[in-house]
This record gives sequence, C-alpha cells and structure tokens, in this order.
Amino acid sequence: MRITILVGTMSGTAEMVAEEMEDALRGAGHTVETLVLDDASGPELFTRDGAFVLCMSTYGSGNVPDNVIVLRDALEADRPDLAQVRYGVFALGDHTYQDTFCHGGESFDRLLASLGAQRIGPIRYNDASSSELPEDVGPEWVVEWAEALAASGEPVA
Amino acid sequence: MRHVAIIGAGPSGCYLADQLVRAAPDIEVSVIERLPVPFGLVRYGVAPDHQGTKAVARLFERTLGAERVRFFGHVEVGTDLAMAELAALYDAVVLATGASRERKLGIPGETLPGVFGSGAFVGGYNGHPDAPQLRLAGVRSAVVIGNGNVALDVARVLAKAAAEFAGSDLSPVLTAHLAQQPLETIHVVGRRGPAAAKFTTEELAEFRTLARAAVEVADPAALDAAGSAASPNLEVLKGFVANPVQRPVVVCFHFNQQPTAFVGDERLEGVEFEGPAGARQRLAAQLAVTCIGYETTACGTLVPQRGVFANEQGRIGEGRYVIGWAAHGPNGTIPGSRVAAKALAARMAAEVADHQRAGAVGLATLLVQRGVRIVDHGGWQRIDAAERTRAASDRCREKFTSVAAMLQVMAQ
Ligand SMILES: Cc1cc2nc3c(=O)[nH]c(=O)nc-3n(C[C@H](O)[C@H](O)[C@H](O)COP(=O)(O)OP(=O)(O)OC[C@H]3O[C@@H](n4cnc5c(N)ncnc54)[C@H](O)[C@@H]3O)c2cc1C
Ligand SMILES: Cc1cc2nc3c(=O)[nH]c(=O)nc-3n(C[C@H](O)[C@H](O)[C@H](O)COP(=O)(O)O)c2cc1C
Repeated sequence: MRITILVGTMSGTAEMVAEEMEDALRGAGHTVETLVLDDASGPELFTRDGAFVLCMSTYGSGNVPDNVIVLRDALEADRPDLAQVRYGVFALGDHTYQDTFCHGGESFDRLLASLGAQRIGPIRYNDASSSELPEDVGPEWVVEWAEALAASGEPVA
Repeated sequence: MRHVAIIGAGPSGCYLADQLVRAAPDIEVSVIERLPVPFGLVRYGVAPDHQGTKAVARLFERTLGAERVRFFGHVEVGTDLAMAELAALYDAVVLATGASRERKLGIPGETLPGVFGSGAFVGGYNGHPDAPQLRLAGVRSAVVIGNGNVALDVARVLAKAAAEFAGSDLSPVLTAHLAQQPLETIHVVGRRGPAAAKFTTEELAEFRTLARAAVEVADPAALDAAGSAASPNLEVLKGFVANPVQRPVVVCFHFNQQPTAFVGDERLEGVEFEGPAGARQRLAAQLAVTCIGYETTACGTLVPQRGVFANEQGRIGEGRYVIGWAAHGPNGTIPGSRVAAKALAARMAAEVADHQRAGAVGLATLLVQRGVRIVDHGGWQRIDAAERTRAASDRCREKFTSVAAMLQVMAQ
C-alpha cells in the first residue's frame, strides 16, 4: 500500500510518532511518505495515490495545530470532493483539557468526512497525561490500521 | 564536517540541535549545559503538575542521543572554558542560554524574608540546584504579583490540595510543607487591566477544576469597564464571577494595582498597592512571589543589552548566533521555540562555513585536560533512571536537588 502520513504538530510529538509509524509501516512492506504540514500544504495533496494517516495534536482550546490551519482553511473554502480519499486518524491530546480532549484530530476528521472522504477504523486517541506513550502505540496501531485498509478493498468512487 | 556548539540544553537548544542535524547531513552538534541535567525550563520552569507539557522532554531525549549530537553536561561556558576557546573549536556557536535572572520590582522591602522572586520560588518547587529550599511559615495569605502564566503556575501550585499532586514530580516533602500552611487566600495582582493580562486562557480556566480553591475577582466592575474588546480571558473571569463556589481557599484576582512596598518588621506582613486615582490598599501577606519576568545574563565575554543579546534574526555576528529567551526575552512558549529553531537551522545550514575545526573531539580533550567532570548523555540517563526509581509511588520522579547528589549517581 502507498501511505502518506500527514503531521499536525506544535511541539513535535506528532512528528516523532510519525517517524516511528513510518518505520513500522515500511517494516510491514508499505510505501510511506511523511509530510509535516506547513503553510504551503494545499488541498491538492489529497490527489496523491494511496491512503492517508493523520497524526495530529490539539492546541489552544481544542484547535488544530498552527501548521494545519492553512490546509484546513483551504479545504473549508474550496470544499474539494475527496470521495476517493481513505484515511485514518491518530489524535494526540491531553485529558487535562477535559472539554476539548483531542478536538484537533476530531475536527479535522469531521472536515474530511464532510468532503466525502472515508475513514478506515475508529480514531485512535492518545492522552499525554496517561502512561501510554504515543511513539509506542502509534506504530502498533498504524500497522493494524493498514491491515484494515487492505481488507476494506478499493474505494468505490 | 561542520561543527556547531549550542550553549544551553533548554527547548531552544534541543530543538535547534534536532533541526540542524535534519537540515544538513554534514553538521555535527555539541549541546553544552552548565547543569548535569538537560532540558532547561522544561525541567525547572514548567510546573510539576503539568507533566503533559513536560512530556516534550522525550523528544529532546531522542535528540541528545542522536547520531551527530553530543551532550556535554556540567560544563559552563565562561567558567569551565572561555567563549573564545569554544569559538576556536567550532564553526559556529549558538547562545541558547535562556533568561535566568528574575526581574525585581525595586520597591522597599523586597529583601524581607517571605518575599520571593519567581526564579527562586519556581526553581524551589521544581528542585533547581541553585534555588533556595522553600521554607514557608504560617502562610495564611499569599500575594502573587504578575499577570502572566508564571503567576498562574505559582498560584495554582499554592492552591492545589496535596492529593492533586498525584502523578506529578513535586517532592513529597515540599507537598507536605505546602499543605501545612494555614492558607486561606491567594491574591493574584496585576499592574494593568484584565484585558491586558497575558494569561493563556486554558491555564486560567484550569482554576475551575481545583478541588479546594474558589476564584473571585476583587473588583468585578473592572471586567466590564475593560471595554468592548472581547478577550477570552475576560470571558473566563466573568464566568468565575457569575458562578461563585464555596471552597476553603480563595484565589482572588486584582487588576490595575501597582505594588509600592513590601512591609513587615522581621518578616513580610503585607504588600502595599496603589490603584486607579491613587487609591492605596494593603493586602496582608506572609508570602509574596513576584512573577514579573526574567532577563538573560552574560555568557563568558558576551554581554547582553537590555536583557537580551542583540541579534538580527538570530545572528549576532560572524559564526555567532542566539535563539530563544536569550534572543528575545522571557516571552514565548515551547512550540514557539520549535518554529524558531526550524528557521535558524535553515539559515545556519546555508551560511555556516567549514573551517576544519576540531568540534566535539577537541572540546572533550580540552575539558578532560582541565579536569572538568563531563556528564555525557549516558550519565544523564543514569541520573534520570535513578530519579524515577527513587520516586514515591504517587510521583513520577524525585529530583536530585544538588549537583553533588547528581554527580554521586554517576560515581555509583
Ligand atoms: C515558570 C515557567 C513556566 C513555564 N511554563 C510553560 C508551559 O507550561 N508551556 C510552555 O510552552 N512554556 C512554558 N514556559 C516557557 C518555556 O519554558 C520557554 O519558552 C523555554 O524554556 C525557553 O527556552 P530556552 O531554551 O530559550 O531557555 P531555557 O529553557 O532557560 O534553557 C537555557 C539553558 O541554558 C543553560 N545555560 C545558561 N547559561 C549557560 C552557560 N553559560 N553555559 C552552559 N549552559 C548554560 C541553562 O542552565 C538552561 O538549561 C514557562 C516558563 C517559565 C519561566
Ligand atoms: C498550550 C497547550 C494547549 C493544549 N490544548 C489541548 C486541548 O485543548 N485538548 C487536548 O486534547 N490537548 C491539548 N494539549 C495537549 C497536546 O495536544 C498534547 O500534549 C500533544 O501530545 C502534543 O503533541 P505535539 O507535540 O505534536 O503538538 C495542549 C497542550 C498545550 C501545551
């Protein structure tokens, strides 16, 4: 499978997790590229072949990280048809922020879904205040996610 | 290979090391830190009950252990070696030394026992080797001066009940000492109006979740007078006023109050303020903590001006750079350090020249000749492991609070 990992991060944790995911996916025979989103990231990136993994934290009061804002705003403005896009979500957050736990990942998931994209499997949440390290569980999760992706067949767009 | 020395292993130094080795395969980095332990204010500033924020240290840990990065702990530039010696060994030197000197108010009574600067108080509860042991006595009322996140941290650490420090790295001894104080009121006092407060809104809102503390605003009318400019902080403060709760400890926010004197005979007894139209008031206090900012200090022969090292987008001069709080003063967060590090790394990767210098190998040789006890990455890992191992069951870590105790671990 071709998989692109899209990284939304403020302090760099999601990037570290993505690097581990990349290694794990390669080890499982997939072709992987990691993109740390930036101001140059536009909606056209979703025309790439293959599926996407969002690896994204939450900041402010439930916001997406700053490096995701340009892409999010462009998707909201252009509303491209993403019916052929399949994706998974690894959302990093901290339950100390009770009311907005992982809202960054959740809101981006809702945005993609509203554009017709199809999420494979449930969102995988990670809580920075728990003992579960995202760089440990992220790679395990993503390999299983890729298996579910393969089992789901081709998109029906 | 091009050799870069970064002075200071705080967030700025660690992010920059990471970004430099990513930006150029021919750059090697030495991160030089005066303490045996890395991470700067992540370890010694960020509050002990915010472990989620301290978790960023895991990234820095990877960086310090990475290929082409070498950690030189317990090495102080300006003391163990001169800036000129360092400059002769590396193609570029970066100051990432932070801003460790707390600003003073410069008003009468500031040296009374019971008055702390934020550096001493925060360093104290975070176990910084240079900080005094926190010894409080009969604190019924505390005054925290300042309207930024450091003031909120100090107020929250005072306001929390002992049980709320489960999972933190606040030492159990200090937790008990704080819990022994007959605390009733914590005043958080700002010089300017509520709309000008520099609190991060989530940190202000966090006071809602405290077990034993209720929030009040001394002059609720000031919240409306603050003007039509809706600020998220104002909304949170109004929420506190609108939904009063009964709790044993009151955290009371005051605005537009200029401190004029700390008063007391042998110890602090109160703090005097001047408000709008010259109105004076005195708040009783057995503890006062001033959280009004920090400035950077000289690094060897390099001397800052007005609390920072003058720079042009991070460049001080030929082969000299500066980043973080040393470059722009005590504002800005950990994520901001990462963004700044990306930009400076790109610039340095493009413009640092290769002078065939000796780099880390030369530095190690010089320091060993001089008898400096270097704590390398492995040494820090042993200290780290020992701190975790000796922690109580409801603590994630029990820090060593002296350099001697840290070095002792290395000797074992
Ligand atoms: C009390 C407090 C709480 C904070 N809480 C948060 C928070 O919750 N979230 C957030 O995002 N930000 C927080 N911050 C801000 C954050 O800590 C800073 O943005 C960040 O640490 C600045 O990084 P720095 O690397 O520039 O400086 P520092 O972290 O201060 O690192 C400088 C390092 O340089 C070393 N050094 C200095 N001089 C020398 C020398 N001559 N030789 C060798 N080494 C030297 C020091 O020992 C230190 O380790 C807080 C700050 C404070 C003060
Ligand atoms: C200032 C700040 C605000 C945050 N806000 C939220 C939030 O609203 N909800 C949440 O779930 N996590 C929040 N977090 C936690 C981060 O999402 C979490 O620590 C994550 O692991 C950081 O990943 P990153 O380094 O990739 O940005 C916040 C963290 C900070 C420092």
